[in-house]
Amino acid sequence: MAALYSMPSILTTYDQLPANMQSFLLYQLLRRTPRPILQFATQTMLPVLQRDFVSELPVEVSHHILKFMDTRSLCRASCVSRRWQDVVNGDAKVWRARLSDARVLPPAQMQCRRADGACDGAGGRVAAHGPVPVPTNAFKEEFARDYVLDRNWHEGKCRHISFVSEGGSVVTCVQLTDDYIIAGFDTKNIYVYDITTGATVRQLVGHEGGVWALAVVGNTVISGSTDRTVRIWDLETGRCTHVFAGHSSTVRCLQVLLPTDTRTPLERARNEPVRYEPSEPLIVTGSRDTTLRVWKLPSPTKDTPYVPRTGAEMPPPPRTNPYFMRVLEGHTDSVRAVAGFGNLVVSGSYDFAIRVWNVVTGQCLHVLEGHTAKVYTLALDTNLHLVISGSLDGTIRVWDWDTGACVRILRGHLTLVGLLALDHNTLVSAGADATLRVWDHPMQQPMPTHHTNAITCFQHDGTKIVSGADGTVKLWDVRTGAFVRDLLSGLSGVWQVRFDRRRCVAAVHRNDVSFFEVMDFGAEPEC
Amino acid sequence: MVKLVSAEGAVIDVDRDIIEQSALIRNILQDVGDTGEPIPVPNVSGPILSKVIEYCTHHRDEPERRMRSDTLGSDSDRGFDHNFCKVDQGTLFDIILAANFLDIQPLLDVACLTVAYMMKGKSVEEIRSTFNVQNDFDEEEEAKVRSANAWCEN
Repeated sequence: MAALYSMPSILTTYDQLPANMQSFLLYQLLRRTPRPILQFATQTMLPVLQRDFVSELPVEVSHHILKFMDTRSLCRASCVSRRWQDVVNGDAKVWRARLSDARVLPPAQMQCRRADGACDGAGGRVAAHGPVPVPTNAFKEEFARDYVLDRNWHEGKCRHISFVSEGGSVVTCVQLTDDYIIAGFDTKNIYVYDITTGATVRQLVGHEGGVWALAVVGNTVISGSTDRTVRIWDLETGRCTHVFAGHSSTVRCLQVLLPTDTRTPLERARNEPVRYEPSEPLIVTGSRDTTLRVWKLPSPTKDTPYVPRTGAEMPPPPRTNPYFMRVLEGHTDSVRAVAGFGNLVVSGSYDFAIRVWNVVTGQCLHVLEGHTAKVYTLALDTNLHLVISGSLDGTIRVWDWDTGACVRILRGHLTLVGLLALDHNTLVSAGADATLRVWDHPMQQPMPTHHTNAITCFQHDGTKIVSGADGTVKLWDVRTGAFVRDLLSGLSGVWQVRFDRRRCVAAVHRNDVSFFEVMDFGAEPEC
Repeated sequence: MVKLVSAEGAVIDVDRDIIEQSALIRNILQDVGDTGEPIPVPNVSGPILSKVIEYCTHHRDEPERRMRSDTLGSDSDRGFDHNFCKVDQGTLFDIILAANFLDIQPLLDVACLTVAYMMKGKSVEEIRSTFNVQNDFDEEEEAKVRSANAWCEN
């Protein structure tokens, strides 16, 4: 009982001691304490020592912690409390950084689709008196969409439809829009299919030979054919509004040039004035007749139709065509590939050479010579001003388009390099040697990945590659070079593959019949 | 030798090359010159300052060290950093504040990474109990928040 009465004085004594003596006294007390009471002490102490790292730290430090978290943990953290939700979702930075990393884009280039501007700043959170203050963060929503889409691609979760190709059995080119698949055939057909149902929406009738080049800009379809003409179509009505004659042989490739800000990243950083080139939309076509021709791109709805009589008779003289601008002459064999940026056009030819042109003056600025066989494909690095070319000689050459010098030769493919694509600073090449190669840019060691047969087509977007070869359509991870999965198998051939963020379309051959396979990875899966 | 004064007013001596891992102190020394005057660090307590100096002493011969998020625990040095951060939450919290104030990026990184690891793979309830956070959502709000984040599950 006496001990009980002395307690207040013990506490008073303790309170009056300096900190180091308090530590000493506590130490002496703990030393005398049996285990069950120590356990009680621990239970009392631990919650006091626990700290809320997300709510109590300066918010920029909390965000630094969030940077190290995986996406799933981050989402769970946003469910912990109102304050946590606000820290995780309330600031655009957290999710913008994650999105830019996932899309291989610098944060400055990240734009979100929402027009209401909620992506910047604290996402329109209602003050605490509001009933359900769920912070909205457009970057998070965008990231979530990508994340789910990406998982569906990797797991093969999609809504898959398949329909017989009505337009013909040899599919030469495929383009996608939000609503349509536009396909060209080696017959004279161009078909427009509904990408959701596979129904034939319309046929673009007019070419008299196989269609080998196809481009779509908004509502305008541009096609080039073995009938030597270039045709312009209104996608919504299917009407051919313009026919351009002039080439004396097959139109094999075409490139649309839209007015583009052609400043280099350095010039942008220096805030130099915006420079749009060319001044109006143009088409450049390359032909087996060894020339390129430059045309104004007409609008099917706004411009006066121009449909001269064509066919067996002589085409009308090109000079009477108000859309014709000029001929680019110099190659001595078929023009197989064309690429362009601003006023600059680059052409690759079966004469082994590549030519760099100014489309406005018609001047040939450089002849890039070095390949020892036909040039089949081109890609441009518009930031570094590089031309990249693939050839039957098995090499890829990299050229400086300002000086015309060959700055690098990429060796590795054993034979024809028929396909090249540069996206997000990653170059992917495919060859008749059945390999796909991924090259870091600027060019480091390639990561070869393997198909079992000659690759006929591929596309890549900086994160994934979809490739087609006899038998299968495969999905690859660009960043690791790893094979992910077969999207389609059991085929006898793949004509073309195309994909956008949600959908993959493959024109394939199976049991002597051509099909279109549409896989929608953003739809509720049925399979 | 540089003299630092902790929050309690205790003076701690430390070699200049060690404490120059703090960008704050390095800038002070560059701007003012090494006058021998004690530099006050009023936001950092003596015990935490000692911990920070222990960290900087271990890494004194590694200028321009940069930590990457995926390399913790991959070698013996990461082992030191990892063990260094095996402390109670209060100490870790104060280390983060000190690293932030003194601007010692590798220490801030490793301490923040340690906190991130404490949440890795945990359910929402486990995160709450790990940091003793009160759930202040009502039932309807919580259901809404959970469903808005359901996309990351499975």
